[in-house]
Amino acid sequence: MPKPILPERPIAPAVFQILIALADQPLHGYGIMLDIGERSDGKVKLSPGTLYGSIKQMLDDGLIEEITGRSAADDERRRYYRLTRKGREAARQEMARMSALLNHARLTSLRSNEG
Amino acid sequence: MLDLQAFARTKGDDVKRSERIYRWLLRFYPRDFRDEYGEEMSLLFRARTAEGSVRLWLQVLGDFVFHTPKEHWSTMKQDLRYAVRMLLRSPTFAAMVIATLALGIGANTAMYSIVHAVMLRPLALHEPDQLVRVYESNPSLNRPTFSASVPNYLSWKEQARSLDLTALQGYAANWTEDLEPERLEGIAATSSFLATMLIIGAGLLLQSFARLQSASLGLEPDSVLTARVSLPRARYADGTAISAFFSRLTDSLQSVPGVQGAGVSSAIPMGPGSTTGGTVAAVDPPDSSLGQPMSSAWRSVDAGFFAALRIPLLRGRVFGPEDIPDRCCVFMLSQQAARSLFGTSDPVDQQLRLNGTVGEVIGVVGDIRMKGIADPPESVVYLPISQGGRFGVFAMFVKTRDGSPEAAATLIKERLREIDSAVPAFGFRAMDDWIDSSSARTRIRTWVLTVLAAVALGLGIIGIYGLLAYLVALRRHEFGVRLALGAQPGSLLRLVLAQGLGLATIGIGIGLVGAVMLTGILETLLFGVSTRDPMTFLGVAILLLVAALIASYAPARRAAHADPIAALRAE
Repeated sequence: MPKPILPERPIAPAVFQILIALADQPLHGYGIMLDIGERSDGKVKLSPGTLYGSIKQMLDDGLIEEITGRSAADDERRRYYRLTRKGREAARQEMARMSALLNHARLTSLRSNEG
Repeated sequence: MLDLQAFARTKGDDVKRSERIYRWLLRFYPRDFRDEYGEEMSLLFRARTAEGSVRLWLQVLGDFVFHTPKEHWSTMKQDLRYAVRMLLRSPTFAAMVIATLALGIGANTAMYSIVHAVMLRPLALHEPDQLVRVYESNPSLNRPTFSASVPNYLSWKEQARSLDLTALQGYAANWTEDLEPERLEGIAATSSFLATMLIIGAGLLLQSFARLQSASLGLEPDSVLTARVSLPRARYADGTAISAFFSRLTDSLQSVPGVQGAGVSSAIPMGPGSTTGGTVAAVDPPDSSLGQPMSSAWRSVDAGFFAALRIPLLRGRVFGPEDIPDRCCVFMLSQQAARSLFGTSDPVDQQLRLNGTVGEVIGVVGDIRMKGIADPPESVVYLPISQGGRFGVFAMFVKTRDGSPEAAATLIKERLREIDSAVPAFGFRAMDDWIDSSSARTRIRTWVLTVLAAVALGLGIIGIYGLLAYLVALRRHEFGVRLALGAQPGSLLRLVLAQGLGLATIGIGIGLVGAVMLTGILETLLFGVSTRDPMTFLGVAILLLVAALIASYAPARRAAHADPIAALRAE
């Protein structure tokens, strides 16, 4: 039995997307959606249910936290979220996991056009 | 041009209709989730209607099919997890649940054994419905049926092919299977001792619950209606505008006769709202041991908040019109925060740093319970509305003299309409309601244990009754003989009662000792009650003795009224 390449459990794609969006600045829900949309050239658009379902889960898991009253220009009805230390750590781990996976993939014939 | 306008209008109508449908679909989410995120989800939906509707509606449909059940499941999972965790965390509680189940199974077994043996008197044969009684008949003697003679029986038995014959002589044969009364006595004593422990546990929890209900919350919820208000962004862009709006609203409400207080906060104590927190430290701590930054909750409030909830001002002053954003910042502290940050020295006029913002402490108010009724009061830093920043939803508190929530709700809606008809108020609920929901867990726990204890008491009574009824049935013959020999019915009654009470006393005694040993673990669940509360122990012992007396009375009466002739005939 070979050693498993990736011991950690992968993070759900939507959750990872949100972690990336919040990595450099706190954002509100709509801002997160726009950020994810921009990064993917509009290909990824989270539905309201996925977005807020994930946000709730992430708040429960302590990956993100809510902040309020950021600056006078903010939209009052929107809640802002930022990464917690745990969230940052989770995102880093997922990044490492994905790079490792990519490295493994690159070592196979998938990289060239053979086969 | 005209066509374009018409088109724009139709388009606008479409958007509104879509939004209405979306809002309707949101109802299928669990209530908590909807309250928390519904507003933002509709905002997001509205923002996205611009990009074309097919993809959006497909996604919404996907949400509806997958996420709605998922959220319900997640809520349920949380409840289940909580239940399991609570059982694990409170081993006594779990043990009592298991004990009741065991007791129920034990007592049921005992009950059914008794019913089976004493009342149904089943035959010691398989398939009793195939049993027939065979008679001889002699029409010439005008005797349609009489019992068979022995020679006839023997010759029938020899010849019978479809019947399996057996003979029976006399009437009084014991056709029941043999029982072991000793084991039953054990069950009766066991059930009364388990009942004792359960009822003591339930009694302690009930008392604890009663004390919890009257526990000091630090605030007076009576006749206070809470509502949630969401300010549109365009007109209320900053703290000044928000604060101006709320002070107009609260002034207007306070001018109404019958309104005893009106205030605003970013969160409802023991209820919903933004659970803002941060790091706080005294800038010049009076003592080197107090300089450490600590985490504390913070809430944005106005002076009316303290007035409406009757939270006492202990030092300094409350927020006033002078606390404008330009004079940032001023803070008020809960007593506990004041103590942790400044020790015994007066915090008023001292400098404080909250999340990097430095300001001055202007007053100290009494501690209130923020999270829940059973959670201890925590450190809270209060900021004035003008400086506390923007919240999606603010909470309003209105205390009225007559306490009618409907009247207060109508009043808030009216005043809101006068000041700004575009500001919606929703989620009207009495402050008492929030506190009730906050104590719901304790209440449920208490009720469960009370119901279990009642079941245990019922089973205990049935156990004692069943056992004595059985013993009396067994000794009916003996009682008959005693009566025939001149025993007084009263003495037989006392004999059986004493036996019942004796069993119960043994059980209760063991139960009391068990309760003393076990309720120690119950300590964490109790609030203001000692685990060895003597009144509870005494009360439960008396209750159980009375119950045992009642349970023993019917069998004892039956013993006293045994028919000596019937008993002797059976001999």
